[in-house]
Amino acid sequence: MADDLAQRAERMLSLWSDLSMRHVALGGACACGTGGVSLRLEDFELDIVGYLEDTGLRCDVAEVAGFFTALQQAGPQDQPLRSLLHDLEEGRMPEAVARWLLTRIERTLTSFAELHGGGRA
Amino acid sequence: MGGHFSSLLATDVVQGERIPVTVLTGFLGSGKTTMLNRLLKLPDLHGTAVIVNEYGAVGIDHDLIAQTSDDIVLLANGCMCCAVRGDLAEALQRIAERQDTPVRQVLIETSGLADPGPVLRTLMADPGIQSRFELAGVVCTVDSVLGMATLDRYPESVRQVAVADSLFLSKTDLLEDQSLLSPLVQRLRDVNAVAQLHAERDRQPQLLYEHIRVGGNRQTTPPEALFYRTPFIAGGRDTDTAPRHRDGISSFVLVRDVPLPRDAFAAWLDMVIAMRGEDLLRVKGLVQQAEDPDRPLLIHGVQHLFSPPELLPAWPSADRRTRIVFITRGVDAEAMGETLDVLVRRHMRRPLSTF
Repeated sequence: MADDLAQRAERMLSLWSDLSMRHVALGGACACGTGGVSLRLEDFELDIVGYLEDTGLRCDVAEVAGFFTALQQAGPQDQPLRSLLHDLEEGRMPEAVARWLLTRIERTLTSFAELHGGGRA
Repeated sequence: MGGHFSSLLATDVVQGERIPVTVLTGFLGSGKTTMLNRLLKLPDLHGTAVIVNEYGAVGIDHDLIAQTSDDIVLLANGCMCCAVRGDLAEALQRIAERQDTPVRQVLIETSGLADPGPVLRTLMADPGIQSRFELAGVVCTVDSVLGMATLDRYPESVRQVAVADSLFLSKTDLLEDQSLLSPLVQRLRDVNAVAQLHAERDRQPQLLYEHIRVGGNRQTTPPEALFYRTPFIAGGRDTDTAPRHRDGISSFVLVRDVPLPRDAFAAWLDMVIAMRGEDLLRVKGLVQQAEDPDRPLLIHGVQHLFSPPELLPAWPSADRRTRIVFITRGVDAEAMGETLDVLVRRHMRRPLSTF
Protein backbone atom coordinates (compact mmCIF):
# COMPACT_ATOMS: atom_id res chain seq x y z
CA MET A 1 0.00 0.00 0.00
CA ALA A 2 2.79 2.37 0.97
CA ASP A 3 4.58 1.43 -2.23
CA ASP A 4 1.52 2.42 -4.22
CA LEU A 5 1.48 5.85 -2.56
CA ALA A 6 5.19 6.25 -3.11
CA GLN A 7 4.82 5.44 -6.79
CA ARG A 8 1.98 7.89 -7.21
CA ALA A 9 4.03 10.54 -5.45
CA GLU A 10 6.97 9.82 -7.71
CA ARG A 11 4.77 10.22 -10.80
CA MET A 12 3.48 13.54 -9.51
CA LEU A 13 6.99 14.72 -8.72
CA SER A 14 8.00 13.87 -12.24
CA LEU A 15 4.94 15.61 -13.68
CA TRP A 16 5.57 18.73 -11.60
CA SER A 17 9.24 18.79 -12.59
CA ASP A 18 8.12 18.74 -16.21
CA LEU A 19 5.26 21.23 -15.78
CA SER A 20 7.23 23.72 -13.73
CA MET A 21 9.71 24.19 -16.55
CA ARG A 22 7.04 25.05 -19.09
CA HIS A 23 6.24 28.54 -20.23
CA VAL A 24 2.92 29.99 -21.26
CA ALA A 25 3.21 32.70 -23.89
CA LEU A 26 0.42 35.10 -23.16
CA GLY A 27 -0.94 36.56 -26.33
CA GLY A 28 1.92 35.19 -28.33
CA ALA A 29 -0.35 33.50 -30.84
CA CYS A 30 -2.83 36.31 -30.83
CA ALA A 31 -3.70 38.77 -33.56
CA CYS A 32 -4.67 41.43 -31.03
CA GLY A 33 -1.18 42.87 -30.86
CA THR A 34 -0.41 41.69 -27.34
CA GLY A 35 2.76 39.72 -27.09
CA GLY A 36 6.06 39.17 -25.46
CA VAL A 37 4.67 38.30 -22.02
CA SER A 38 5.03 34.84 -20.67
CA LEU A 39 4.80 33.06 -17.37
CA ARG A 40 6.18 29.85 -16.02
CA LEU A 41 3.96 27.26 -14.44
CA GLU A 42 6.52 27.14 -11.64
CA ASP A 43 5.07 30.52 -10.61
CA PHE A 44 1.94 28.70 -9.49
CA GLU A 45 3.65 26.48 -6.93
CA LEU A 46 2.72 28.62 -3.93
CA ASP A 47 -0.83 28.99 -5.22
CA ILE A 48 -1.30 25.27 -5.71
CA VAL A 49 -0.13 24.58 -2.17
CA GLY A 50 -2.27 27.44 -0.85
CA TYR A 51 -5.26 25.99 -2.67
CA LEU A 52 -4.59 22.54 -1.21
CA GLU A 53 -4.17 24.11 2.20
CA ASP A 54 -7.51 25.96 2.00
CA THR A 55 -9.29 22.80 0.94
CA GLY A 56 -7.50 20.68 3.54
CA LEU A 57 -8.32 23.03 6.40
CA ARG A 58 -12.01 22.84 5.46
CA CYS A 59 -12.18 19.09 4.91
CA ASP A 60 -13.91 16.60 7.18
CA VAL A 61 -10.85 14.49 7.89
CA ALA A 62 -9.44 15.75 11.16
CA GLU A 63 -6.00 14.35 10.43
CA VAL A 64 -5.81 16.30 7.18
CA ALA A 65 -6.99 19.54 8.77
CA GLY A 66 -4.47 19.02 11.57
CA PHE A 67 -1.70 18.45 9.06
CA PHE A 68 -2.37 21.71 7.28
CA THR A 69 -2.70 23.64 10.53
CA ALA A 70 0.76 22.40 11.47
CA LEU A 71 2.04 23.27 7.99
CA GLN A 72 0.76 26.81 8.35
CA GLN A 73 2.39 27.16 11.74
CA ALA A 74 5.71 25.99 10.33
CA GLY A 75 5.77 29.09 8.12
CA PRO A 76 6.56 29.60 4.45
CA GLN A 77 9.16 27.52 2.66
CA ASP A 78 10.75 27.39 -0.74
CA GLN A 79 9.30 24.96 -3.25
CA PRO A 80 6.53 23.78 -0.92
CA LEU A 81 4.89 21.50 -3.48
CA ARG A 82 8.11 19.73 -4.26
CA SER A 83 8.71 19.35 -0.54
CA LEU A 84 5.26 17.83 0.02
CA LEU A 85 5.81 15.40 -2.84
CA HIS A 86 9.20 14.36 -1.46
CA ASP A 87 7.60 13.71 1.93
CA LEU A 88 4.91 11.64 0.24
CA GLU A 89 7.47 9.72 -1.76
CA GLU A 90 9.50 8.96 1.35
CA GLY A 91 6.43 7.88 3.31
CA ARG A 92 6.86 10.63 5.88
CA MET A 93 3.12 11.31 6.20
CA PRO A 94 0.25 9.52 7.93
CA GLU A 95 -1.53 7.34 5.38
CA ALA A 96 -4.87 9.16 5.60
CA VAL A 97 -3.17 12.48 4.92
CA ALA A 98 -1.07 11.00 2.14
CA ARG A 99 -4.10 9.53 0.37
CA TRP A 100 -6.11 12.73 0.62
CA LEU A 101 -3.20 14.91 -0.47
CA LEU A 102 -2.13 12.75 -3.38
CA THR A 103 -5.62 12.59 -4.77
CA ARG A 104 -5.86 16.38 -4.68
CA ILE A 105 -2.40 16.95 -6.11
CA GLU A 106 -3.10 14.51 -8.92
CA ARG A 107 -6.27 16.35 -9.81
CA THR A 108 -4.63 19.77 -9.77
CA LEU A 109 -1.45 18.89 -11.63
CA THR A 110 -3.29 16.81 -14.18
CA SER A 111 -5.56 19.80 -14.78
CA PHE A 112 -2.61 22.09 -15.52
CA ALA A 113 -1.05 19.39 -17.68
CA GLU A 114 -4.31 18.87 -19.54
CA LEU A 115 -4.67 22.55 -20.29
CA HIS A 116 -1.07 23.04 -21.25
CA GLY A 117 -0.71 19.89 -23.26
CA GLY A 118 -4.22 19.51 -24.56
CA GLY A 119 -4.52 16.15 -22.93
CA ARG A 120 -1.30 14.99 -24.50
CA ALA A 121 0.78 15.59 -21.37
CA MET B 1 -0.78 39.42 -16.31
CA GLY B 2 -0.77 40.96 -19.77
CA GLY B 3 -2.69 38.42 -21.82
CA HIS B 4 -5.40 38.96 -24.39
CA PHE B 5 -8.35 39.18 -22.04
CA SER B 6 -6.54 41.31 -19.45
CA SER B 7 -5.60 43.78 -22.15
CA LEU B 8 -9.25 44.02 -23.22
CA LEU B 9 -10.32 44.61 -19.63
CA ALA B 10 -7.65 47.24 -19.17
CA THR B 11 -8.63 49.24 -22.24
CA ASP B 12 -11.86 50.19 -20.50
CA VAL B 13 -13.51 51.03 -23.80
CA VAL B 14 -17.06 52.22 -23.45
CA GLN B 15 -18.93 50.67 -26.33
CA GLY B 16 -21.58 52.82 -27.88
CA GLU B 17 -24.68 51.52 -29.57
CA ARG B 18 -23.58 48.87 -32.04
CA ILE B 19 -25.37 47.13 -34.85
CA PRO B 20 -26.21 43.51 -34.00
CA VAL B 21 -24.96 40.95 -36.50
CA THR B 22 -26.37 37.45 -36.76
CA VAL B 23 -24.51 34.77 -38.65
CA LEU B 24 -26.65 32.23 -40.51
CA THR B 25 -24.78 29.02 -41.10
CA GLY B 26 -25.71 25.45 -42.03
CA PHE B 27 -24.39 22.76 -44.30
CA LEU B 28 -25.06 22.58 -48.05
CA GLY B 29 -28.68 21.73 -48.66
CA SER B 30 -29.70 22.23 -45.04
CA GLY B 31 -32.25 24.88 -45.91
CA LYS B 32 -30.39 28.18 -45.43
CA THR B 33 -31.59 29.64 -48.70
CA THR B 34 -35.17 28.65 -48.04
CA MET B 35 -34.95 30.08 -44.54
CA LEU B 36 -33.47 33.30 -45.86
CA ASN B 37 -36.15 33.70 -48.50
CA ARG B 38 -38.87 33.05 -45.96
CA LEU B 39 -37.35 35.72 -43.74
CA LEU B 40 -37.16 38.14 -46.65
CA LYS B 41 -40.88 37.72 -47.26
CA LEU B 42 -41.73 39.18 -43.86
CA PRO B 43 -43.55 42.48 -44.32
CA ASP B 44 -41.28 44.98 -42.61
CA LEU B 45 -37.54 44.53 -42.73
CA HIS B 46 -36.60 48.20 -42.84
CA GLY B 47 -33.19 48.65 -41.33
CA THR B 48 -32.19 45.05 -41.98
CA ALA B 49 -29.18 44.28 -44.13
CA VAL B 50 -28.42 40.79 -45.38
CA ILE B 51 -24.95 39.85 -46.55
CA VAL B 52 -24.76 36.81 -48.79
CA ASN B 53 -21.91 35.15 -50.60
CA GLU B 54 -23.25 35.55 -54.11
CA TYR B 55 -26.73 36.42 -55.32
CA GLY B 56 -26.67 33.57 -57.77
CA ALA B 57 -25.85 31.03 -55.13
CA VAL B 58 -28.46 32.29 -52.75
CA GLY B 59 -31.18 32.88 -55.27
CA ILE B 60 -33.19 35.63 -53.68
CA ASP B 61 -36.69 35.44 -55.12
CA HIS B 62 -36.99 37.92 -57.99
CA ASP B 63 -40.49 38.81 -56.92
CA LEU B 64 -39.07 40.37 -53.76
CA ILE B 65 -36.50 42.60 -55.40
CA ALA B 66 -37.33 46.26 -55.80
CA GLN B 67 -34.04 47.71 -56.97
CA THR B 68 -30.43 46.71 -57.59
CA SER B 69 -27.26 48.77 -57.74
CA ASP B 70 -23.65 47.61 -57.68
CA ASP B 71 -23.50 44.93 -55.02
CA ILE B 72 -26.65 45.99 -53.23
CA VAL B 73 -30.13 44.63 -53.78
CA LEU B 74 -33.03 46.46 -52.22
CA LEU B 75 -36.13 44.48 -51.50
CA ALA B 76 -39.64 45.84 -51.54
CA ASN B 77 -39.96 45.32 -47.80
CA GLY B 78 -37.01 47.58 -47.03
CA CYS B 79 -34.38 44.90 -46.60
CA MET B 80 -31.00 45.50 -48.17
CA CYS B 81 -28.96 42.57 -49.48
CA CYS B 82 -25.28 42.83 -50.18
CA ALA B 83 -23.09 40.31 -51.92
CA VAL B 84 -19.65 39.56 -50.55
CA ARG B 85 -17.16 38.79 -53.23
CA GLY B 86 -14.12 39.27 -51.08
CA ASP B 87 -13.68 41.02 -47.83
CA LEU B 88 -16.48 40.72 -45.30
CA ALA B 89 -15.08 43.63 -43.32
CA GLU B 90 -15.34 45.86 -46.37
CA ALA B 91 -18.93 44.83 -46.94
CA LEU B 92 -19.81 45.68 -43.35
CA GLN B 93 -18.10 49.05 -43.60
CA ARG B 94 -20.02 49.82 -46.78
CA ILE B 95 -23.26 48.98 -45.03
CA ALA B 96 -22.40 51.04 -41.98
CA GLU B 97 -21.58 54.08 -44.11
CA ARG B 98 -24.78 54.12 -46.08
CA GLN B 99 -26.63 57.36 -45.44
CA ASP B 100 -29.82 56.60 -47.31
CA THR B 101 -30.91 53.57 -45.27
CA PRO B 102 -29.72 53.44 -41.66
CA VAL B 103 -29.04 49.84 -40.74
CA ARG B 104 -30.37 48.48 -37.45
CA GLN B 105 -29.39 44.83 -37.81
CA VAL B 106 -27.37 42.61 -40.11
CA LEU B 107 -27.66 38.98 -41.12
CA ILE B 108 -24.64 37.28 -42.69
CA GLU B 109 -25.29 34.07 -44.56
CA THR B 110 -22.20 31.91 -44.80
CA SER B 111 -21.32 29.39 -47.45
CA GLY B 112 -22.59 25.89 -46.70
CA LEU B 113 -19.12 24.44 -46.60
CA ALA B 114 -17.68 27.20 -44.46
CA ASP B 115 -16.46 26.93 -40.94
CA PRO B 116 -18.16 29.97 -39.36
CA GLY B 117 -15.09 30.61 -37.19
CA PRO B 118 -13.38 33.07 -39.56
CA VAL B 119 -16.58 35.12 -39.93
CA LEU B 120 -16.94 35.29 -36.17
CA ARG B 121 -13.29 36.24 -35.79
CA THR B 122 -13.68 39.06 -38.31
CA LEU B 123 -16.51 40.44 -36.21
CA MET B 124 -14.41 40.28 -33.07
CA ALA B 125 -10.90 41.06 -34.20
CA ASP B 126 -11.23 43.92 -36.68
CA PRO B 127 -11.21 47.15 -34.64
CA GLY B 128 -13.13 49.04 -37.32
CA ILE B 129 -15.84 46.40 -37.31
CA GLN B 130 -15.86 45.82 -33.59
CA SER B 131 -16.58 49.45 -32.80
CA ARG B 132 -19.69 49.50 -35.00
CA PHE B 133 -21.00 45.95 -34.96
CA GLU B 134 -21.57 43.30 -32.33
CA LEU B 135 -22.20 39.62 -32.74
CA ALA B 136 -25.82 38.98 -31.82
CA GLY B 137 -25.55 35.25 -32.34
CA VAL B 138 -25.19 32.32 -34.68
CA VAL B 139 -28.13 30.51 -36.23
CA CYS B 140 -27.60 27.13 -37.87
CA THR B 141 -30.02 25.25 -40.09
CA VAL B 142 -30.02 21.46 -39.85
CA ASP B 143 -31.70 19.14 -42.32
CA SER B 144 -34.10 16.94 -40.34
CA VAL B 145 -33.88 14.15 -42.89
CA LEU B 146 -30.22 14.13 -43.85
CA GLY B 147 -28.75 15.91 -40.83
CA MET B 148 -27.51 12.79 -39.09
CA ALA B 149 -25.63 11.52 -42.15
CA THR B 150 -24.18 14.98 -42.76
CA LEU B 151 -22.88 15.16 -39.20
CA ASP B 152 -21.34 11.72 -39.65
CA ARG B 153 -19.54 12.62 -42.86
CA TYR B 154 -18.61 16.29 -42.63
CA PRO B 155 -16.71 17.71 -39.64
CA GLU B 156 -17.54 21.23 -40.89
CA SER B 157 -21.21 20.57 -40.20
CA VAL B 158 -20.38 19.55 -36.63
CA ARG B 159 -18.51 22.80 -36.10
CA GLN B 160 -21.42 24.77 -37.53
CA VAL B 161 -23.75 23.14 -35.00
CA ALA B 162 -21.24 23.52 -32.19
CA VAL B 163 -20.93 27.30 -32.43
CA ALA B 164 -24.64 28.01 -32.88
CA ASP B 165 -26.88 29.81 -30.42
CA SER B 166 -29.98 28.57 -32.21
CA LEU B 167 -30.57 25.47 -34.30
CA PHE B 168 -33.39 25.56 -36.84
CA LEU B 169 -34.52 22.13 -37.94
CA SER B 170 -35.56 22.27 -41.59
CA LYS B 171 -37.67 19.91 -43.71
CA THR B 172 -39.53 18.50 -40.72
CA ASP B 173 -42.56 18.31 -43.01
CA LEU B 174 -40.74 15.65 -45.03
CA LEU B 175 -40.53 13.29 -42.08
CA GLU B 176 -43.17 10.62 -42.12
CA ASP B 177 -42.92 10.15 -38.41
CA GLN B 178 -41.87 12.99 -36.10
CA SER B 179 -40.39 10.50 -33.67
CA LEU B 180 -37.62 10.02 -36.22
CA LEU B 181 -36.34 13.41 -35.07
CA SER B 182 -35.34 12.13 -31.63
CA PRO B 183 -31.94 10.62 -32.52
CA LEU B 184 -30.97 13.79 -34.42
CA VAL B 185 -32.11 16.02 -31.57
CA GLN B 186 -30.08 13.92 -29.14
CA ARG B 187 -27.05 14.15 -31.41
CA LEU B 188 -27.41 17.93 -31.65
CA ARG B 189 -27.79 18.18 -27.89
CA ASP B 190 -24.63 16.14 -27.42
CA VAL B 191 -22.66 18.44 -29.68
CA ASN B 192 -24.21 21.67 -28.42
CA ALA B 193 -26.36 21.43 -25.34
CA VAL B 194 -26.77 25.16 -24.93
CA ALA B 195 -28.29 26.13 -28.27
CA GLN B 196 -32.01 26.76 -28.54
CA LEU B 197 -33.71 24.27 -30.81
CA HIS B 198 -36.55 25.30 -33.13
CA ALA B 199 -38.46 22.63 -35.00
CA GLU B 200 -41.78 24.38 -35.71
CA ARG B 201 -41.50 25.23 -39.38
CA ASP B 202 -44.17 27.93 -39.51
CA ARG B 203 -42.69 30.00 -36.72
CA GLN B 204 -39.10 29.89 -37.93
CA PRO B 205 -39.00 33.07 -40.08
CA GLN B 206 -40.42 35.16 -37.24
CA LEU B 207 -38.08 33.50 -34.73
CA LEU B 208 -35.14 34.24 -36.99
CA TYR B 209 -36.24 37.85 -37.28
CA GLU B 210 -36.52 38.12 -33.51
CA HIS B 211 -33.10 36.56 -33.20
CA ILE B 212 -31.42 39.06 -35.49
CA ARG B 213 -32.95 41.94 -33.53
CA VAL B 214 -32.03 40.65 -30.08
CA GLY B 215 -28.54 42.11 -29.93
CA GLY B 216 -29.91 45.61 -30.20
CA ASN B 217 -32.55 44.97 -27.63
CA ARG B 218 -30.61 43.26 -24.88
CA GLN B 219 -32.29 45.06 -22.00
CA THR B 220 -35.63 43.47 -22.81
CA THR B 221 -34.26 40.08 -23.74
CA PRO B 222 -35.55 37.33 -21.48
CA PRO B 223 -32.73 36.01 -19.32
CA GLU B 224 -33.01 32.52 -20.68
CA ALA B 225 -32.32 33.85 -24.15
CA LEU B 226 -29.19 35.62 -23.03
CA PHE B 227 -26.79 32.90 -23.97
CA TYR B 228 -28.13 30.16 -21.77
CA ARG B 229 -30.21 27.20 -22.64
CA THR B 230 -32.11 26.89 -19.38
CA PRO B 231 -32.43 23.11 -19.13
CA PHE B 232 -28.69 22.74 -19.31
CA ILE B 233 -28.14 24.60 -16.09
CA ALA B 234 -31.52 24.29 -14.44
CA GLY B 235 -32.26 22.65 -11.15
CA GLY B 236 -30.44 25.03 -8.85
CA ARG B 237 -27.10 23.42 -9.53
CA ASP B 238 -24.26 25.29 -7.98
CA THR B 239 -21.54 23.22 -9.52
CA ASP B 240 -20.21 22.91 -13.03
CA THR B 241 -22.42 20.94 -15.36
CA ALA B 242 -21.29 17.51 -16.43
CA PRO B 243 -19.55 17.93 -19.76
CA ARG B 244 -20.99 16.41 -22.90
CA HIS B 245 -18.76 14.92 -25.53
CA ARG B 246 -19.62 14.10 -29.10
CA ASP B 247 -17.82 14.30 -32.41
CA GLY B 248 -14.70 15.67 -30.76
CA ILE B 249 -16.67 18.55 -29.26
CA SER B 250 -17.16 18.96 -25.54
CA SER B 251 -19.57 21.47 -24.08
CA PHE B 252 -20.04 22.42 -20.48
CA VAL B 253 -21.02 25.30 -18.23
CA LEU B 254 -18.64 26.50 -15.58
CA VAL B 255 -20.63 27.77 -12.59
CA ARG B 256 -19.35 29.63 -9.56
CA ASP B 257 -21.44 30.79 -6.60
CA VAL B 258 -18.80 33.01 -5.09
CA PRO B 259 -17.93 36.26 -6.90
CA LEU B 260 -14.58 36.03 -8.65
CA PRO B 261 -11.77 38.54 -8.13
CA ARG B 262 -11.49 40.43 -11.40
CA ASP B 263 -7.73 40.00 -11.74
CA ALA B 264 -7.94 36.30 -10.92
CA PHE B 265 -10.58 35.65 -13.52
CA ALA B 266 -8.73 37.68 -16.15
CA ALA B 267 -5.44 35.94 -15.38
CA TRP B 268 -7.08 32.56 -15.63
CA LEU B 269 -8.77 33.37 -18.92
CA ASP B 270 -5.50 34.78 -20.27
CA MET B 271 -3.88 31.48 -19.41
CA VAL B 272 -6.65 29.39 -20.93
CA ILE B 273 -6.63 31.46 -24.12
CA ALA B 274 -2.86 31.15 -24.36
CA MET B 275 -2.89 27.41 -23.75
CA ARG B 276 -6.03 26.25 -25.50
CA GLY B 277 -7.29 29.19 -27.54
CA GLU B 278 -7.42 27.14 -30.71
CA ASP B 279 -9.80 24.71 -29.04
CA LEU B 280 -12.26 27.25 -27.67
CA LEU B 281 -14.92 27.17 -30.37
CA ARG B 282 -17.20 29.52 -28.43
CA VAL B 283 -17.12 30.95 -24.94
CA LYS B 284 -19.94 33.09 -23.64
CA GLY B 285 -21.09 33.96 -20.21
CA LEU B 286 -21.81 36.25 -17.35
CA VAL B 287 -19.21 36.74 -14.63
CA GLN B 288 -19.93 37.99 -11.14
CA GLN B 289 -16.93 40.05 -10.16
CA ALA B 290 -16.04 40.43 -6.49
CA GLU B 291 -15.36 44.13 -7.03
CA ASP B 292 -18.73 44.84 -8.63
CA PRO B 293 -21.10 41.98 -7.82
CA ASP B 294 -24.26 43.85 -8.82
CA ARG B 295 -23.22 44.23 -12.43
CA PRO B 296 -22.38 41.16 -14.50
CA LEU B 297 -19.49 41.13 -16.89
CA LEU B 298 -20.60 39.81 -20.25
CA ILE B 299 -17.86 37.88 -22.03
CA HIS B 300 -17.79 36.40 -25.47
CA GLY B 301 -14.97 34.71 -27.32
CA VAL B 302 -14.23 32.63 -30.38
CA GLN B 303 -11.00 30.67 -30.21
CA HIS B 304 -8.26 33.02 -29.00
CA LEU B 305 -10.19 36.19 -29.78
CA PHE B 306 -12.55 37.80 -27.34
CA SER B 307 -14.80 40.80 -27.69
CA PRO B 308 -14.15 43.60 -25.23
CA PRO B 309 -16.03 42.46 -22.12
CA GLU B 310 -19.12 44.47 -21.37
CA LEU B 311 -20.28 45.46 -17.90
CA LEU B 312 -24.07 45.18 -17.93
CA PRO B 313 -26.06 47.59 -15.76
CA ALA B 314 -27.85 44.76 -13.91
CA TRP B 315 -28.32 41.01 -13.78
CA PRO B 316 -30.93 39.77 -16.23
CA SER B 317 -32.51 37.48 -13.61
CA ALA B 318 -32.35 36.58 -9.93
CA ASP B 319 -29.57 34.12 -10.71
CA ARG B 320 -26.36 36.04 -10.06
CA ARG B 321 -23.93 33.17 -10.31
CA THR B 322 -21.02 33.23 -12.68
CA ARG B 323 -22.04 30.99 -15.59
CA ILE B 324 -19.78 30.49 -18.56
CA VAL B 325 -20.68 28.28 -21.48
CA PHE B 326 -17.75 26.56 -23.16
CA ILE B 327 -18.06 24.83 -26.52
CA THR B 328 -14.65 23.32 -27.09
CA ARG B 329 -12.63 20.87 -29.02
CA GLY B 330 -11.73 18.45 -26.28
CA VAL B 331 -11.01 20.84 -23.43
CA ASP B 332 -11.51 19.14 -20.09
CA ALA B 333 -14.18 20.74 -17.90
CA GLU B 334 -12.64 19.67 -14.63
CA ALA B 335 -9.26 21.04 -15.63
CA MET B 336 -10.86 24.38 -16.34
CA GLY B 337 -12.61 24.53 -12.97
CA GLU B 338 -9.61 23.34 -11.02
CA THR B 339 -7.20 25.84 -12.57
CA LEU B 340 -9.67 28.66 -12.06
CA ASP B 341 -9.84 27.80 -8.36
CA VAL B 342 -6.04 27.86 -8.09
CA LEU B 343 -5.92 31.27 -9.78
CA VAL B 344 -8.63 32.60 -7.46
CA ARG B 345 -6.54 31.39 -4.53
CA ARG B 346 -3.54 33.21 -5.98
CA HIS B 347 -5.33 36.52 -6.06
CA MET B 348 -6.79 36.08 -2.59
CA ARG B 349 -3.23 35.72 -1.40
CA ARG B 350 -2.06 38.71 -3.43
CA PRO B 351 -4.75 41.36 -3.62
CA LEU B 352 -2.78 43.24 -6.26
CA SER B 353 -1.89 41.60 -9.53
CA THR B 354 1.79 40.76 -9.37
CA PHE B 355 2.36 38.65 -12.44
